[in-house]
Amino acid sequence: MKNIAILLFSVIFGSILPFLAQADEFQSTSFKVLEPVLNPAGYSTSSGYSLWGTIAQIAIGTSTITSYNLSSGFLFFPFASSPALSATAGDGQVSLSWNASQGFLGWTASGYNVGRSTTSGGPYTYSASLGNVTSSTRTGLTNGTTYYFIVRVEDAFGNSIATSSEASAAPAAAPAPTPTPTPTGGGGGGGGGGGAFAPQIPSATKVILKGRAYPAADLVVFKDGTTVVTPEADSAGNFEVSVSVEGGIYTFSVYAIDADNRRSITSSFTIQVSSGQTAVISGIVIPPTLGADKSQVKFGNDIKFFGYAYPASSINVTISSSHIITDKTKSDKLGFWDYVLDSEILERGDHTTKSQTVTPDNIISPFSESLAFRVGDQDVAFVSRIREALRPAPAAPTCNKNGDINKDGKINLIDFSIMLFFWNQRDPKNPCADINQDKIVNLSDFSIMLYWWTG
Amino acid sequence: MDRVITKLETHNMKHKIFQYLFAAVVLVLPFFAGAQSLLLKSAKTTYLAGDSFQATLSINTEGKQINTIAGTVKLPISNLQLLDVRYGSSILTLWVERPKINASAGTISFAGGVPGGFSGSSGPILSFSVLAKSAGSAEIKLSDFSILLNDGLGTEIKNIGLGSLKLAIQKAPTTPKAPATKPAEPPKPKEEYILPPDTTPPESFIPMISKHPTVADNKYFVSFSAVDKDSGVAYYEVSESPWLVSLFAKKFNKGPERTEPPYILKIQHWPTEIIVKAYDQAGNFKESSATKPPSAAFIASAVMILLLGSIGLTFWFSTRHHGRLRKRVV
Repeated sequence: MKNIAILLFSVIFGSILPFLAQADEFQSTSFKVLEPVLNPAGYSTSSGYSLWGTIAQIAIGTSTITSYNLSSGFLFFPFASSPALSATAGDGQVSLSWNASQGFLGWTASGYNVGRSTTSGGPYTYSASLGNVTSSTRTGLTNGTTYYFIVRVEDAFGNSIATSSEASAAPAAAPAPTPTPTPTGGGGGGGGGGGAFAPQIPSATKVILKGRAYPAADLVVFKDGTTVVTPEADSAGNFEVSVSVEGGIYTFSVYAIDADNRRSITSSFTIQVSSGQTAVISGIVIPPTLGADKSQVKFGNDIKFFGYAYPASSINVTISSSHIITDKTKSDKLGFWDYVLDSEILERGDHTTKSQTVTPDNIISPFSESLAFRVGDQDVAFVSRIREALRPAPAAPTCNKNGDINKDGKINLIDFSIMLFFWNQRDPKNPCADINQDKIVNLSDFSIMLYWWTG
Repeated sequence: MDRVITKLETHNMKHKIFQYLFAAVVLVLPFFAGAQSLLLKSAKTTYLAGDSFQATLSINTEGKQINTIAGTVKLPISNLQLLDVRYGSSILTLWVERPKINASAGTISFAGGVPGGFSGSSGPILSFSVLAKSAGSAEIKLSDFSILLNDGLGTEIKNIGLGSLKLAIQKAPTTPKAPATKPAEPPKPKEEYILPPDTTPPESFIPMISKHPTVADNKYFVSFSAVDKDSGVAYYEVSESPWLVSLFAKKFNKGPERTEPPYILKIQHWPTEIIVKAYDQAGNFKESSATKPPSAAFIASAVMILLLGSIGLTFWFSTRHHGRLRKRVV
């Protein structure tokens, strides 16, 4: 009996421990929450009321009616990014693939399921949980009918924690093999005759990328590391580009440059496209750009973080120090956002901040780059690392820390070539090839270069 | 007083040790479940000696975004033989070291990356075909793997789940000598993996010419990287054709030379057309070109020659003209 109890204890404790280990401790000037336990729950809604989570001291979420607002939990917002979803039509089927959702503050993407509808916007019929995968082929579909799909992200308990935007595709029968033309009519051997067969024009193979950036932002799209198109987002911040491909597995990456010449981090999507097919990657939300007015703030003074994001969106701002602080702000109609932090709630020392966009229809971007700042004894103005990287620097003895080895404002094949020239060398003649300055040019330097790649 | 451990106590102790071990496994497993894992797969796990088959290596990033993978696939050469490796369908597009077979060691080594990063549950890295040589058990293993996060810091992931592929190679049945009265049964056909044909050349690419004080004493070099979606790019060839000169004498052309980037140009001063050919493993190629501008020394020399030429012409013309005028006056 005792043995069974030990086994049972082991199983239960072993299953629970990972979730307990995910909790963070929080504090503000007037309260402290130590060793919190997250307890997600399901949704419930009625005509004038919606509830996300359990209303209890240990729950997370917000319930709203017209005249009443309740924020429960730790005053923190666990969230998970929305996957960008691609749909490729086949014969009686649609292949879906999406990028992994990133959870934060206790939420972890543990599985996905697919919602399907023949009407845009739903209601959707959901599949059973597909497990922690990033692709699925939906079969048994009717050729010629347009299907609309969304992907729902689930936590370990099966609760939905994020949703992709909608992607659509219309399955179509595979083209019949091109028939050998035979003369029709015309009799008598020869000449010219009928030609009843119109030559079959092979369909173009292409990938369409749809998403949201910042109003009039310059975008750079690269395919397998090479820049293929540099479109501009429209005045509402939306973009759509089409790229011709030959067929195979491709990695598409996109980043945006805002009105202040600040660059977003790169978002990437790997997709398989067969010859003759069109794949649509939709729901790309470019993370916000991020700047600060100071790189060091005098303890007790304000520090302002700002940047551009999709207009009229909610911006999650996260400060990481010995504990994590999250808060929200809004982007205006031009996409500009800012957030002022009173440094008094932080201790002296180094901290980082990052942000993400929550669009008006609740599609959540991945995080922006992480920006370091310091709380110290005096204010020091900030010089943006990315802006510096994008600006061709004069011949200076200092190296860019982003892989722009030749300092031409781009991180591309030339820098890769220079890196290969010094590959595995200790204390290379060009110290900038050793990006992380660890005295050897190796995979770590290569990885940093790929992160900052501009194509 | 010494305590005598009875048989029953020994049994109980064993039982408890088992329980504690079980508890430890249950406690530890969930932490490993989140580690990034590399998976080796083949269609079957049992083959006959003489069969050939394909195996694939893929990655599950478990929600993380990675951008660099390097490592070695190792086969037991006693009963398996590497035939071919393909990496056209890889998530990796920039190769520091393209997958390379070392037949005598039975290894495939590679190091590559993907700009912008990759996150997914089954990202293909490479596939390889194998010949089962002789009966026995065989395990294809992964070693010396590094996976780096796409975090801008080059952070290497610890505790990578390295899968292995355990195979059973059975002796191929020999055709029995049939008794005179019974017709002999035909031998079971050998399983053979036939590589899909690759008739598509690599995709278009753009060579880039530049120079840098620290690279080969500030000489011009050309950078290039092509992608082939079938068998993968195998090698590059570079040739140089000097402008105008190549129209009259091909002997001043350089190459084609089999090379890897960066290729230091042989003609440094004269303006040249650089032709780069990317060949895939099936021998298909894609050609692309770039123009190297004249060097500063070349431009200075040309300007000097033009200047001297024009001075000479002016002098010659004025002398001649002045002579004629003088004759007329006389």
